[in-house]
Amino acid sequence: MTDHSQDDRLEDERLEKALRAALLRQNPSEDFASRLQTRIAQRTQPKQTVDSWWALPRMGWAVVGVMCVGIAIGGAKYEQHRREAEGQAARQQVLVALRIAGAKIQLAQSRVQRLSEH
Amino acid sequence: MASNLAEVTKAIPDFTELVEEHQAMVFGLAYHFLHDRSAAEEIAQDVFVELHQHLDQLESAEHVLFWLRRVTANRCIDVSRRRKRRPEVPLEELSDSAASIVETDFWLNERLRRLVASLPEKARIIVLLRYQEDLEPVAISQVLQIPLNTVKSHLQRALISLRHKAGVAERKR
Repeated sequence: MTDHSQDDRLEDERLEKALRAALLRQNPSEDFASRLQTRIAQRTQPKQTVDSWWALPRMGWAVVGVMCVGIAIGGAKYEQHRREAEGQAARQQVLVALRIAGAKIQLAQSRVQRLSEH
Repeated sequence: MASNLAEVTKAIPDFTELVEEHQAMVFGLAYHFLHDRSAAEEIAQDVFVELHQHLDQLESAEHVLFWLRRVTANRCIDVSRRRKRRPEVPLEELSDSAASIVETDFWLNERLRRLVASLPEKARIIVLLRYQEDLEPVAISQVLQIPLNTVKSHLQRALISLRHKAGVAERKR
């Protein structure tokens, strides 16, 4: 029993020694540190590529937005002017029609008056 | 005691020095855990990027080392669970080879590394912290935040199985 325990202990010691030899710390690739520094530098910099991709069009989008608003306002104003013009024209036509009608009525009235005088 | 206190409260070196000092430890743990160099480099890079983000929260050089071991261990286990490329072999079923554990040549080392890499995840990281980092079970339980008895149990079972599978030929001689 003692021999078996001693054998077991010896086996354990051999295995542990072998494990320590097999599981030594390992160095990564030679450029590990430089790649790491590059990666950290990219993380700490403002996201130029993403922002720059958006930055110019963002300005452009702002301009486009302003233009759209301007066009919309202009269009609304044009529409308002057009309707006003149409209304004005319609009013003029009515006035002309009324004048014509008024003139005809006057003519008719004068004829009736002349006939009544005779 | 004074030297231990000095060790514990030693100021944290700058980040570049930390990388140089600990990259072999971090990469080694990841490599032995996954047995895959490129995956291990990726894990090591991630760990150091995270260290860079948390450096101001760490209080001493000893704290940094503890933090690195814990984060590396956790990342290894997470990556292994996501990959599952190398199915775990239960302790009882590790491959049976005639290699002797007395020999310490390259092929034996490689075989032992493969055997360790095939252990269940918890047992694997415990073996690595024990034999790569030479941590005692108490320290391992603190790093992994698991009970001491659990550490001892995993370690014992792993050693029994590794001994059986790697040492069968030795007994038969």
